[in-house]
Amino acid sequence: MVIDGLKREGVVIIKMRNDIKKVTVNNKTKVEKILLKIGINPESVIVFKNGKLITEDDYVENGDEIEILPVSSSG
Amino acid sequence: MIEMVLCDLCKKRKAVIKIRYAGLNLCKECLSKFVEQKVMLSLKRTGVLGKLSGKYLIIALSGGKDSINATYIMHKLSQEYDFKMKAVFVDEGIGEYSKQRRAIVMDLCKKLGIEYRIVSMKEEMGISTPEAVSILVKSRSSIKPCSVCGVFRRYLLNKVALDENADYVVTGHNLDDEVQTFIMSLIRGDIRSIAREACSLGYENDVPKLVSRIKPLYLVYERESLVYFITHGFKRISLSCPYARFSMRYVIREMINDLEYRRPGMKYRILALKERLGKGIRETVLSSVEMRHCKICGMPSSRDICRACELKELLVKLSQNY
Repeated sequence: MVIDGLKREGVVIIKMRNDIKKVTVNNKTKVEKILLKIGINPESVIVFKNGKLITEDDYVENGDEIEILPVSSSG
Repeated sequence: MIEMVLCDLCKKRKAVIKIRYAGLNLCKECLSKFVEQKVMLSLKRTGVLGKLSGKYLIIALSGGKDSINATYIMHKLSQEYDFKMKAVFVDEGIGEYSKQRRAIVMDLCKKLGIEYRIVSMKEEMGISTPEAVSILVKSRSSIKPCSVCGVFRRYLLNKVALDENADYVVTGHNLDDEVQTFIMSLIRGDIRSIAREACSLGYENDVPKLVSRIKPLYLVYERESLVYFITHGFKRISLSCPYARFSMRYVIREMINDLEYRRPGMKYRILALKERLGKGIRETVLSSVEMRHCKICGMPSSRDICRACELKELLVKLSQNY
């Protein structure tokens, strides 16, 4: 979020299995960057934003909810 | 509003997956074609495609994403290439997990109009997976649950395929499975397994009573398989196999995914190495292995007693000793 030239931070809600966490991000952050920030290899998961499948090249912003699904169910 | 990433091929629709090794973001339609083209490539490369007409295929349908994709794609091909198929579900008796999977299998087969057969591990092998695991745990055996369950399932699939007089057994193994199995064989120093698994992509064996395998998803990454599955509207059960975490495969998978992220296409390169290495050593290694038939059950084996019968006997022995 850039208002009057000032960069603001936003909060993205991340769901993974039964775990829900809130991550503070600079607005318009690449999904890949968020995954790496929370220690997840983008190659081992797929990501939904607000219920829709996205790629790690997509961006998220304040208020978005992302759900992370491991590729292997047993992993 | 943030712009969405569009598909690099059609340049119209929203991308749902990034195929890092190809440098492409793909939408669901283009991914679907991509996966199905890989299946065709695997079937053509092994020469299986030209032989399918009039054949009878048994498909190992576990209710997981890969076997559902394999069933769905092979079913689509069955009319064009004129072959028949029947799904087989091996019920391991793992409580709610097996129950939910069985329901998914029955539902899918009804929807697609495919015949199916349910085989109970307890009835056929005399023991269910949880019973076997309980014995292994109580006797502090180093044998992992997947080593028993996997051997029994492979054994039963072959047995059913023989019983059904089938020409091929189709499995949902994807590229990740193949690469993991290869690395596990390397770690164990199991050169025979590497030689045997070479050309496992539709390798036609000449061993009596061993039905040839087809692996349509051999060139498909597990991640591509999952996105194909979800975008086709298939439902995944929330339960995972409770015993999978004991498997070495879990550690290997993480390691390979890490390598793949750092060096996209690494899995393909490992698969290519597996093929070349296996083909190179195949004759030398396997010429000394004489295939015979198990003295107990009559199924093909490189030893006097096959691994399934050996495990069955071992479990009985272990259960008597604690």
